[in-house]
Amino acid sequence: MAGTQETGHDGPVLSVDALRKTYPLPGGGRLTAADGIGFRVPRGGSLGIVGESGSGKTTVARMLVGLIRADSGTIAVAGHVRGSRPPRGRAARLARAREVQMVFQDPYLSLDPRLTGRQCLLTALRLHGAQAAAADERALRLLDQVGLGSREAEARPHALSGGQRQRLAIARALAVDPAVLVLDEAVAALDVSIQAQVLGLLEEIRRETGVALVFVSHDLAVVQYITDETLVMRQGRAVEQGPTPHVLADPQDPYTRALLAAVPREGWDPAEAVRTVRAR
Amino acid sequence: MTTTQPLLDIAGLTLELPGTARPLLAEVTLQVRTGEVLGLVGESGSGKSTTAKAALGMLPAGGRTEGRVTVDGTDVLTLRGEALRAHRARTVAMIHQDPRAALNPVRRIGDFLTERLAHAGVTDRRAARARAVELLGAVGLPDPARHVRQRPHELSGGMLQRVVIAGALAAEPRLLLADEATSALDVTTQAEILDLLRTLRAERETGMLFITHDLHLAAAYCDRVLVMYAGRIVEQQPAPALFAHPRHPYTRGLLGCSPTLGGTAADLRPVPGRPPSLAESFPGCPFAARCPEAEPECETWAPVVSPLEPEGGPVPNGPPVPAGEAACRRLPLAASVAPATHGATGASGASTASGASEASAASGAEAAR
Repeated sequence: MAGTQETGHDGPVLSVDALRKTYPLPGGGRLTAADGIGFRVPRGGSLGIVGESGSGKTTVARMLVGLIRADSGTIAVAGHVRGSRPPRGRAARLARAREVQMVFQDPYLSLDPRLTGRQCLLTALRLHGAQAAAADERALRLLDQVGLGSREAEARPHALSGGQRQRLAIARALAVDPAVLVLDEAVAALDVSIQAQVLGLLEEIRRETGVALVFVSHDLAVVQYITDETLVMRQGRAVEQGPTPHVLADPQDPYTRALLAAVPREGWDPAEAVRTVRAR
Repeated sequence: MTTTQPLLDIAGLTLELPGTARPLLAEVTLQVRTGEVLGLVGESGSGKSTTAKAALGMLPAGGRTEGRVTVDGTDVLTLRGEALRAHRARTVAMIHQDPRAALNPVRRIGDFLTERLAHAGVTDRRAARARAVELLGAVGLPDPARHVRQRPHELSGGMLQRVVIAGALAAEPRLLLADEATSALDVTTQAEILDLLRTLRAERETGMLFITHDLHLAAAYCDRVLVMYAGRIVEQQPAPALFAHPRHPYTRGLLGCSPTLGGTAADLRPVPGRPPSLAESFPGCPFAARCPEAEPECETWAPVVSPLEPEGGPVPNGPPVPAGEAACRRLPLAASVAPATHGATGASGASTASGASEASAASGAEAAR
């Protein structure tokens, strides 16, 4: 994977190398939340980051968006390597926002309760400099793209269902035409029928716009539907990474095997799963 | 009391609240037997949790209730005062999704358990203390004597769910209600908790109502599974049969959109539309609007739960048919086909007699052709 020239448009849209983040522990010492994390995602590609709670997957997602600053390591979006300092000034901050956007687990918390669907998108579009007429037209196109109609366009978040809210959050993230979309457990809270709809929508958007997806999830079964590559994290380290079908069908690391053994399916025995988990 | 009497028996439970367009629960009928795990699956708002709360006698105030809820022979909906408190403290215990919401953050784990024990009649402090340590050991916490002195923030989610389960077991209840009890846990921790619950059920012969949105988990873990939609039971079958031969289109839809390991994106077929809210009412089958197999008549067909015939038709003199039922207008009803079988095995009864004449009329028509 190493040695690719990342300056041109032909290179991966997202290149991450040796990313590291530690947090101070209350009793002294430091917790390593991420260490030596590196991967490439091509344009229109998708990477899954899986692991248990506390494995560091959300820390990595937040570093990609710039919500957390890495201790060391590099993140390059479309060949542009991010500086170690946060962007200074409005223009630089907006430029950073156009690189990577994020969709969170709970859209109710990430949407402004006072804004209708259309207003929510207009706010994002105008912030990034769209003219009024163009913004209006683009907002309608975005709503249509995520399968929201005119009723939802004029509704506030409380009047939308969980699935519709998440569609709106995705539309807002897409408003700035980001190179990378990071989704942190974005379908975990949805009903299965809605979850399948949103997964289908993400696949469609990826095909149509070429946005690269980083899909953070604890659910291996979901990850397999939406990602080309999978990175398995445990205690801040990547214990396994490779093409998703390979990782799931032929896991090399005992931890990956334990995670897979614990997924309920027909004929599954929790006692047996526990034995595999303890043997890791 | 006989062993055949179900532990939890809900019969025709209907619950209506003012200001809603449809009932929260409509003619819900189910039984949980001793030592059995009954799975309850369905999407948000289908009535799963309300059904479980009915067993605790915790239905929303101001509603109109019809039907009967019996736990271990006691009519729960007529219980009041001390009898109701005793029922909730000793006979039934509920385990919720979020253990942090069930535990007081400023009190010690041991206090949580001794309080539950006091409700269950263990009033001697020293005895309660010893029993609390015992309970934590029984749910697999490694150092119970230390954990009783800890507060919730010192333990992980999986450990706290074990504490909640220990609390639920304090009164040695006959019936456990697990409402998405493992949904918030990592898969590996979920496996441990499920293994624990299975062991406890075997040791203590409790019955369990297991609520989950995860169909694959229900398939793997439950004896029988019941599917709810818009407050109604739409299908009930033994777990293996439900997943091998789902008969209701909604069950098939749920299975088709549940991610499976080893599946491909093409296998994932979303159910169109979304689960109905309480503001939506239905003149006919509530699933008709989302159903890929619906016909115009479904829009006005009042749902009736009917027994299922086995896949591939009834087997004369074969093994007993696994009990299952579904509420779909388009299903061939067992009742109209069964008499031929019953006739052959010499069963009798009013319905059989009338059915048999129909059956003979049908075979007569066949012969005439």
